[in-house]
Amino acid sequence: MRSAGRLISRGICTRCTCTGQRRAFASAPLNKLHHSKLTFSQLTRAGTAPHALARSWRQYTLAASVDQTTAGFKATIGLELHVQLLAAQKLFSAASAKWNEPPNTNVNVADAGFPGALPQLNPECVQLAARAILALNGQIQLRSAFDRKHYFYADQPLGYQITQQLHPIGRGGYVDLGLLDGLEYVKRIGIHQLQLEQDTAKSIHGVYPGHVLVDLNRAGVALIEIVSKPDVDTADEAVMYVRKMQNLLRHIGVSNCNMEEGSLRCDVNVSVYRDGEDRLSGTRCELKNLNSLKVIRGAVNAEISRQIAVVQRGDNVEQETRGYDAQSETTFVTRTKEAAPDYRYMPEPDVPEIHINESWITRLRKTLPETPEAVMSRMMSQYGLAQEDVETMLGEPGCTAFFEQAVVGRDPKRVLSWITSEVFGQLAYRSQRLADSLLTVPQFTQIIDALSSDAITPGQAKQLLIEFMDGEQRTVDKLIAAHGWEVISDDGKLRVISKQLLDTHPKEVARYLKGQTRRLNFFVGKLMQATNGQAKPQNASEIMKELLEARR
Amino acid sequence: MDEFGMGSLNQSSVHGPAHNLHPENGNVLHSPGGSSGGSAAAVAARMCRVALGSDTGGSVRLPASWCGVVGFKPSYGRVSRYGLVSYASSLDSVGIVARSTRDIRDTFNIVSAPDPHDMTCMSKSLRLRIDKLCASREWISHATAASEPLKGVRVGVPSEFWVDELSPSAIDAWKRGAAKLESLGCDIIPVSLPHTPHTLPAYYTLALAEASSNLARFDGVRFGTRHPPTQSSRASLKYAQTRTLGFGDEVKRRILLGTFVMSARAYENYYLPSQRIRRLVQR
Repeated sequence: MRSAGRLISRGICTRCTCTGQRRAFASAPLNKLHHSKLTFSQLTRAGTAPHALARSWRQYTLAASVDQTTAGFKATIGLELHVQLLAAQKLFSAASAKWNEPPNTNVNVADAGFPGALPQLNPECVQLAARAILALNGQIQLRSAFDRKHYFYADQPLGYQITQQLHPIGRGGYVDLGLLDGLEYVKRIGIHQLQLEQDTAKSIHGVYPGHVLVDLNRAGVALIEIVSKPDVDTADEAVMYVRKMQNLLRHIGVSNCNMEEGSLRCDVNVSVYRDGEDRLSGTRCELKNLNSLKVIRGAVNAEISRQIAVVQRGDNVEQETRGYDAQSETTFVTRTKEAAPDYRYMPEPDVPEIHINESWITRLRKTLPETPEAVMSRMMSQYGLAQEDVETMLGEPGCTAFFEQAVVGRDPKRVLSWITSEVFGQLAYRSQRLADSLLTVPQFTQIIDALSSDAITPGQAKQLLIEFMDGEQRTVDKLIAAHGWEVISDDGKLRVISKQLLDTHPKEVARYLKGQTRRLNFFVGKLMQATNGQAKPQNASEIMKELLEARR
Repeated sequence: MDEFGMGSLNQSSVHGPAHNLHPENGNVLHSPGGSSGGSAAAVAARMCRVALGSDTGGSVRLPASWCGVVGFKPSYGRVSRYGLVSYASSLDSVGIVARSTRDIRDTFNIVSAPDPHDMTCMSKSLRLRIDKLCASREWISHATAASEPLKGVRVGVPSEFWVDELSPSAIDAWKRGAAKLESLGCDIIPVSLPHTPHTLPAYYTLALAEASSNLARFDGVRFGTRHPPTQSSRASLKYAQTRTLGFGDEVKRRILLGTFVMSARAYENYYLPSQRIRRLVQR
């Protein structure tokens, strides 16, 4: 493991949520990252070069891991991820599932629970769930069914949620974590099951005192709940698992997996046990409302510490549901075991069983894209790229495809550097995703080719990139003409201008002839100025030198 | 009809009870039956030619019989339930009441159609398959013969249906019906449906469980009358006042029982065995 920085002293870093050790980091990006309190994605948007940051991020995650084997205790952790599917319509109604629309506009009678309304299963959701199961190496169940989970709450218009408790659509599967994910060893996290279910409405408290505002837009949107086996041992593994899941599900187009937007929500179950005893012997607590990777890490570590302290005192850990307070870095009780509701599960009578056949699965499997790991190893060997570079591209949906189309017959390193520095920089500035950008592969390759053939300078290339991303439709050739950037390669013309310059600066000519050969740069500079930077630099230099020598 | 289809006497409607057109003792008003008592009474009173009702456990057939008209409950899944206020989703059927079987048949041909809005409504392909299967049965080809049009049809009469509670007039009607079928060429065969005694408790358990689930949406938030809570504390109590005042007594009784049989303690003892009995009956 690469050393991540000098250890200064023990104590809690007051400026971030790491606990245990205060560190100064050798590299500036890492230092900035560690103490900035910004998330990874926020820093990327701020313009720090993504691939350098990716490297620093991995170091950071390794460094920030708190050694949990204190006093001979270990932790058992399981995660439940609720992932919003990218289907256009909801799971059981034809209303739009689009995010961030004006309140109560994407609602129909089935979502609002009007009497006489019935659920209608959206096949696209089944397909997306099946894709996720295949990508996670799970088994798609040929027969699955829905259940009703009953509870009264403002965000539950029907008084029950349609979910798959007993007969989920997916069972089994796993996620492998390793070096590529920032783990120094290899670890397989098993998946227990994957089930389809409805999302709740959004209830907003605190706007009108004594009232709750209910927005039904989200009610009925399709979710898959991915329940892992309790294979995770540390907070770091938990975070890596979530990140890996995000990458995977984004890659296959199942979800945006965006924790800020709520398309990915994470609950974690934590228990502790003494080293040597059974992993599942501890009482587990559920941590809910963890809304970022940083919070997940902090909450899990805080809960492990709390449970260890309880057991060391001689008390019993109570089975509870807890939340996390990032300010105090502690977990707090939100619901005790006694208050846990009885959900009165009942088979959903309005929706028949889903029957899937093998040929449908086979056809679906063919539509899955290459796994990120396969893409990684192939691109590293095929184009001679470094792991971080491919990782950076994998982090932006559509980027690897963009690269592979653009790189045909071109230098991979140049194409890569232009994508990850210039294009990504522009995307960050516009808060845009590559998939939504107006830049096309032909436009991009035209810029690269023009640059390679010295038809334009890097500065001009950057300007063209900006123009394309702003919607420019003309070709590079036309744009070069429109801007008047044609390189003046006509030597005759250059000579004329050069002669004029030499005539107007006799003192400098004299200095050059005396032996100050660096005066050449002065004249080249003047020539470039006179031609608005459009003389070919080598030409300019040669011609100037020739003319100066001729005046000896 | 009885509120939410719950009742057999058409007494628990918010609009007051419906009355049977045929009084027995002059000035005593009799029940038309329920829960679709109003539909049957209207047809019997010639207010309309055909009426729709909902039949979950006899709620169209019973009032039709009590009012002296024809009541028909199609097989579950024949008629779409989209738009029908759900009582017990896996048992509800839209039924038809009329004064003649011809009117019933004509109405049925119109309303019995596939509907994508209702996933439990039989699809077009399934209907065609069933039609094809029936057409291949031998006795259909005999149906045109004048003297014994139903020759070859075997009609089973369950022996378990002969219960102590059967009134003499009911037994009489039953016997006359069997005789009529025999005269048309049917073979009347006694059969045994051994699970019959258990079916009523199982029905009530399942129907009430599903009803308590289907009526959970009536909370006064998005539609209906809302009664503000007397003590606004926990979210679960916010609906209590609306539901207490909004539902009639019979409905409240059934919701409470239905909730009970689905609760964690009672599920194994009531709901699960009822589901098993249902499977046995289906076989």
